[in-house]
Amino acid sequence: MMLARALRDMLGASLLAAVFAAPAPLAERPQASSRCGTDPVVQTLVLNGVRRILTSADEEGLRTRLGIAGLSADAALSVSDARVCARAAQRINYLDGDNRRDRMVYVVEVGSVRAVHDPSFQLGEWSPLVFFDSHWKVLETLLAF
Amino acid sequence: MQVKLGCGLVILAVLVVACEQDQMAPTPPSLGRRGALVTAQDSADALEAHSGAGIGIQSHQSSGVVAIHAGDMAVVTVVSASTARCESVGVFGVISQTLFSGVGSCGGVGRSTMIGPAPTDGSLFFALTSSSRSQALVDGQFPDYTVRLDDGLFDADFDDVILSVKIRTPCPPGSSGDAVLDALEASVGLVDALSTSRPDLPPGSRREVGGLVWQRADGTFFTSIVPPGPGTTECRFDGNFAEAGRRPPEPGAVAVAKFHTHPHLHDDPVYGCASAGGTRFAQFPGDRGQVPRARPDQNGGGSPRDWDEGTSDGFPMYVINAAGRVYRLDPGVPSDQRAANPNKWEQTAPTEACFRRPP
Repeated sequence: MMLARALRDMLGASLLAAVFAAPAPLAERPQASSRCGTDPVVQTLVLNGVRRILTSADEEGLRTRLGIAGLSADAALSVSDARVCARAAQRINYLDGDNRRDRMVYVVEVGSVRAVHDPSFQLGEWSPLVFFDSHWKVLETLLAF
Repeated sequence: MQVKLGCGLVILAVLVVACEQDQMAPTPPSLGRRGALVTAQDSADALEAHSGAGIGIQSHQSSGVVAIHAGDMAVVTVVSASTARCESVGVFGVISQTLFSGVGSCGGVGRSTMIGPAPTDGSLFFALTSSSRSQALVDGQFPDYTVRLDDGLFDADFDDVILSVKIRTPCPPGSSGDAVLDALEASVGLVDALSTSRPDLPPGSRREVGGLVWQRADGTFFTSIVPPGPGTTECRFDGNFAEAGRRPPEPGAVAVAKFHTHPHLHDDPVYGCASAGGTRFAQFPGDRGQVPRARPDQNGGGSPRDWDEGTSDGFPMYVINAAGRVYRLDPGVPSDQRAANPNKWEQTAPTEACFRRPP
């Protein structure tokens, strides 16, 4: 009994020491927590992919389903807002069934629609482009990459 | 037509005589206009006529022949073998030659050969030349047939050796500019793989099919199918290319490329897509979850996995999709250059195994 109490006291003290010595929680780190992907090649691929959807004749049906018919290619913009990327990463985590804290995503906004791509998210042999509405509900998933 | 009518209407003695006369003539039966050829299952006697004319299999009792036009080729593949013997397979008629030796208990399934061009309109008769009592049945219609061969011993189950026979008109020389696609035997293999993927069925009933392109010592190409792994769906091909590549269907053949199918059209729903951590996507029609949509002509015709893993061993990967478009994914192409893949062809017609550059 005495031994158990001594052990508990020792562990408690160690835990406290570890907590105070630990760096700030991940969420409070400014840049390191951004889930926005930074590879310019992927960024361009995703942006061009979305712009193609806005302009290509064979994507008319998709534009209508997404509610973005009539928008020009310039309406597609890459997103670098860490909060948006974090939410997008959370949604991809859900779709992937894999709660990864290091997931990096590429987000392109078109009107109220957000297109999200994570090259590490494999769906079958594909790496999809997922479209969400403003409430982060899935609108479409394209096996585009 | 003359023979069919003559043999079918045995009412008038005059016609019976005419029928017999036709059977004795060297011209094979059932050749009509192109695209309207019929098998000669209904004219079993035709083969006897040919055999009697000195083809060389006197006791052959085939009840099926395959019609072929002058100039056409036939791609013959061993689909299966269920015999305890080691057989040889031959063809007779307007083209006569041994097709395969060592088929049966000694292997041979998956072997392929191309014969022709046929010198004249006529018929092809297939037989196990290793058996003096060989019989054959032909299923199918122009231009694709299944020939079931029986050795005539014990049971007549007509499954001792089963051949696929595809009659094709040769493509214009160099029409695609790609060595593999210009090789009729290989291009038939690609088109056949697509057909096996069943893009004609609704989404959820299709399946990716993959295989290897081989080159013989004489420079000719042919294909073989890689067995699908358990994870194969219409969203992914899960076959083991590396293992299949270590087993040439023919001695001396060398694997030179891979291929697989994407059995979807633009915007088709695709089922059976799973992710690493389980799935939130529908695995079959009616299943709960998201249903992704196909973009088979995006990213240069291939998925990132097709480009990365598919070509990581130095082999190009051919991808044929439901629209009949073929993309060749070459190894080492950076991801930002894939969308502009210049190696793209389209089928000249749905029934042909010829490809050309898109206009």
